[in-house]
Amino acid sequence: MEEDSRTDEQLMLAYGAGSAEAFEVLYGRWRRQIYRFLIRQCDGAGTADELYQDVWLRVVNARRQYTVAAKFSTWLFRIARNRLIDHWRSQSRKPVTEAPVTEDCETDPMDNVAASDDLQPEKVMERNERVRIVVGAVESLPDAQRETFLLHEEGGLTIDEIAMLTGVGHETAKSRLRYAMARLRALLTEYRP
Amino acid sequence: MTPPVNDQDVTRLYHEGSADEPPAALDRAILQASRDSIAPARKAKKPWWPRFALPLQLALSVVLVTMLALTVDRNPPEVPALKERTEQQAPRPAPLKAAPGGAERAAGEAPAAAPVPKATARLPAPGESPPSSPKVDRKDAEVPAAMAVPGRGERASAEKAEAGEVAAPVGVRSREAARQVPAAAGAAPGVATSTSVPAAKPAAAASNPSDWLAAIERLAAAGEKAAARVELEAFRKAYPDYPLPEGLEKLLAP
Repeated sequence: MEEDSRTDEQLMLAYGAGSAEAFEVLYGRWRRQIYRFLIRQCDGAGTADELYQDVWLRVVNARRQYTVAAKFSTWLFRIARNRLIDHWRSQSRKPVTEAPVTEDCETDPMDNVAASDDLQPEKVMERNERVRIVVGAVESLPDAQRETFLLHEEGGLTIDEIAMLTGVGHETAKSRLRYAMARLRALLTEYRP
Repeated sequence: MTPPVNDQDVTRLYHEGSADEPPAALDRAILQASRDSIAPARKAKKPWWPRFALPLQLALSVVLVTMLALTVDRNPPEVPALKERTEQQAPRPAPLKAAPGGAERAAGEAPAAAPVPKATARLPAPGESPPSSPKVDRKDAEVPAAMAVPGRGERASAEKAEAGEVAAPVGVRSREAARQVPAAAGAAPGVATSTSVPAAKPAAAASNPSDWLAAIERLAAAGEKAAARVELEAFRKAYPDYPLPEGLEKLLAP
């Protein structure tokens, strides 16, 4: 199939004007990234599927109101993040955005929030697969670091875009990403045969 | 000793292992929802009625043409009311008593105009007796009143003429009589030397042939034989196949 040369923003505007084909192209570009962003932060695949569908339906419903104020990926991941926060609220889990935010990356308490017991690095690494260790390590990251890492890797967002999307400063977003990478590197080093 | 792991290694390993994809059923549902959201807008853009515009226009055209055809069929162009209106609008012709007299004066004959107007005053309307032949007269008389629509109008004007008017106006003449007027006028070029003669000839031609003949007979009986001959000549030009009464030729004999 031939690649569509239009940008994401152009495709979304075309969809807003009534082109279903434009949405299909757009969906094909971002379906995996959004799904992984959600499934890495949810308890199970069922919840991720539900959230995933909700996110895209929000995109569909917002097609007439869409304006190019930022990159489409930033807009799309903001929708996904908001939906995730709604889910966490409904599960009485403290959302990432409600954590105290500070510009001092060294004292950000979210950096030290541990994952649940099931997601401890030791258990994840039992899978004996190097690749899967990394994926598991990502899931074991603290929420803020994991979110930053996923936005960077799946969404392709820059530090500034992540900072804007998550409502933190540039330095905070940068340090979160740096800590996430450092932790994953450390886990990989530990499990080297 | 193994080399230290860097950020690129982490990123590469993560993407290698990150093969999770949304279920195909979910994809289908979302794409269907996206299509459904535009479908109503597409439908709203195109209302239903333009699809029927062309057949509707054709049907209306057919109905209109049919109605016009029926209307023309039932109401022929010569509507009696229109004819009557034409009669009323037409200028009243000069009394016939002046016309023949003028013609005679122009021809240099003795003034014997008095009997002629009486004859023409009693003339029936032309519609009652077509000039061609007596056979046609009978046929026309047998036509029911309801069918002979134009004749009714002519008869009415004839009654009006009998009631008080001097003579039937030129506008009341039947079509045949109208056709014969130029022939009658051109039939006697030598007679029509004065301006009053053309008025006399149409007045004579306006009456039906029997009345015209009766007028000629009266002229002859009054001793105006020359004038009667001139009139008879004009009559023959106008009605070449009309049978002349036997007594007329005797009267006109010198």
